[in-house]
Amino acid sequence: MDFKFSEEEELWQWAVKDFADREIAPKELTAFDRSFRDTLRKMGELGFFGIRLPEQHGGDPANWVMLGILAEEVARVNAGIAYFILVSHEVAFSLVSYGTHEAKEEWLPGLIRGDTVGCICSTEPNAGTDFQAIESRADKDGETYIIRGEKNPVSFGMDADVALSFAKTGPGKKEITAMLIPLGLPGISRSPLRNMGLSASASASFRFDGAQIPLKYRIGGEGEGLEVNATTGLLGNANKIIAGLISLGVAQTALKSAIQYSKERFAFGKPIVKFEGLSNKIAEDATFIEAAKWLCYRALSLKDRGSSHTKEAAMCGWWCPKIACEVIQDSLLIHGHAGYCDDHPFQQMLRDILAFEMISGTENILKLIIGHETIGAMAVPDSMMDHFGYL
Amino acid sequence: MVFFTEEQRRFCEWVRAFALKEFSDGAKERAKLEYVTPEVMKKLADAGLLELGTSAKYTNRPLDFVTIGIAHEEICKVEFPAMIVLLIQYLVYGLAEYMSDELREAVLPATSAGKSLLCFANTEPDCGSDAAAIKTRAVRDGGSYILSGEKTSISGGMQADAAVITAKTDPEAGVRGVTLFYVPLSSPGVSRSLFHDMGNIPAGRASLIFDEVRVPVACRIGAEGEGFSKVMRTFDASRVLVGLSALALAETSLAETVEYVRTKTAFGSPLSRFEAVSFKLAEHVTFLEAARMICYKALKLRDEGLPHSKEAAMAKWFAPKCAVNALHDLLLIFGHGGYSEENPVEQRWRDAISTLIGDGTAEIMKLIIAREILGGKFGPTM
Repeated sequence: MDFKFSEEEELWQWAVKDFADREIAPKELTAFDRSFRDTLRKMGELGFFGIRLPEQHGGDPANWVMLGILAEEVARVNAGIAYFILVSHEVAFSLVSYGTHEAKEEWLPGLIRGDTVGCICSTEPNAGTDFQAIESRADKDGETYIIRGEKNPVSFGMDADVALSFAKTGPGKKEITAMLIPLGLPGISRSPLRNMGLSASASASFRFDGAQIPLKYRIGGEGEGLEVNATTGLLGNANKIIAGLISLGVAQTALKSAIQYSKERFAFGKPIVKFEGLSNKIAEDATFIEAAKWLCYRALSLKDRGSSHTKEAAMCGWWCPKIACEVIQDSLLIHGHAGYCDDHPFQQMLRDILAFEMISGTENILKLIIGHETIGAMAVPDSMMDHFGYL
Repeated sequence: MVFFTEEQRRFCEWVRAFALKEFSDGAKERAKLEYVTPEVMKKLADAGLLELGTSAKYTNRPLDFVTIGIAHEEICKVEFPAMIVLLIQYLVYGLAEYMSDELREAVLPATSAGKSLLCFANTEPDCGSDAAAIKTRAVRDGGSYILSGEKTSISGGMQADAAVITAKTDPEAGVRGVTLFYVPLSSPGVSRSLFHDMGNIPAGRASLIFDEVRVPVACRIGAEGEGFSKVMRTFDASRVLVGLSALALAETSLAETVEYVRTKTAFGSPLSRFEAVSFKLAEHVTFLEAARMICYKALKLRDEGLPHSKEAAMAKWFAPKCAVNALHDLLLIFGHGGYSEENPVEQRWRDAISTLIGDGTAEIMKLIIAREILGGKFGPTM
């Protein structure tokens, strides 16, 4: 047992933290304007989008723990950008793992440089966690797929250049195929969604109306889409763990600020931190964060060693965002009315992090995965047996 | 509710139907406005809901506290922003007997007709829960008082025509130096600014600055030094009313969620068939019902003239907490749909958080409860 980062990981943490404080924190990066794109390119230069991707395309052989460190440190100052790092990585990693040589040559360098913005079209109005219920279709026509259907919500959808998308290529529930869709093609329209938080993710609704996608952009074989999404996509273990670390990054910033404030704010003639009702709450929150953080890094370390980590990832997926919400809500309340208005970041943090309670699948599904791993198949409802391994 | 009288039950049915009929349309949009619309004020007034006084002397319609609670709960189930108007009206009627005849005649008819909105201003930048530490000064000058100071976090502050404020007439006398004043906000020397809050947006929470504002002696409410006790007397009831308003938010979303999980399917069956979903609903119904009981018990005790500070404090921390927790889970049951502004649950959750803070934090409520059950000598000190 060795609960610490390696020297390389520590250096990386320092570099990321330094960049996040200098380049991300001072800017109000809430929309994909020019300054957002410039920041992404600077992040690309530092290798933020190339972790565990091939060096020949500009990637870096770093480990999963380092992706976790990156996401956590960036999330301390901006949850939206941290989430973008995760989504971008999932697009690139799916491409690396399952894409054609031509597609890799065409898209990977841009994704790794931070020039190309990727998004994932997985969720549909009638299919979220129940991913096999998607209704989008991709019909083969010579050298292309003709795609039709609706996808929403799609994070970063309004500004993305390319999407990793999923559609049915046959009548069966599992006949789902993944493909890259260049979003400039005809037959694609998108409109913005108004959400309560995470506005930096420029959530969109997509409509595919007969767009033609060349076969070379298929990711994996026909019918392999379920596996792609469950291994390297939105339903993968990495998503659950990294989304957890992003939530914790934000929660740590909130708690730090609450600690500072409680030392400065006086009530009844003394700093409010002198009241145990308040300091004990801070103590509880610090405990939760510490436990949750090591849960995440252990899961990533298992992943780096190639060990099974499905159970641990599911634990991160439901618990981290939940306690992050609790910690942020406590921090907001410690600031009283001041914390409730937009002079302070807490209300935005809280609204942002609520999204992470559903980004990696609902809490209920994640618990069923844990049940499946710890109790066995008996713990799975019959109607859902078919979905295990792909949740 | 089992212990409602026949009359209270009838009132409940009437006000529920009234709220659904008058406020269902456009409620989601109004929840994002930075003011309470004149139409809402007028409808409340026309229905007689802006004279929720308990004293027969000043209102045509004296009501018991339980009935006032019913009004808050049922109106807020549909139109939460009305809470601020109802609460202030209740407070105004509570203070009516201490007003000069001149002031009473100027204030009551306009407010109960929904033509004038008041706000209550006690909190200051350096004292929220610690009401005795206020710094705003009132200095007597012949037939008037000159008021100077800053009030903050004032619900209704941006929209109100006048404020009832606390100010020190004798800074040396602690709580016994606090006096109440009625201040028209059009007076020279008054300035105000808005806070952009995440919820309860129509309350238009504001900072009010009083820079040598002159008001006639007739604007004093009660005698010098009697302000603190008069305000404290109204707090026990307003805390419960805030609790009921918070529960109302959760109750409405709960009813909508029940409908949703019956019809929305995943993995081939309605969400309601999954225990992870239905048990969560079962838990929240339990919490909300328990919190509601505490609220009505506190109001019933008040109607009977019995001590109820402990129960009011319980209601104030527990009901908003149950409401926020329930709304959080209900939002997640709706999934991404709940996260979208299309669904009113996101704003209700944001609104409910305001009830955790306003009218005394959970910490202060727990302090009150602890002192009640342990005795002042053994309870936590401040």
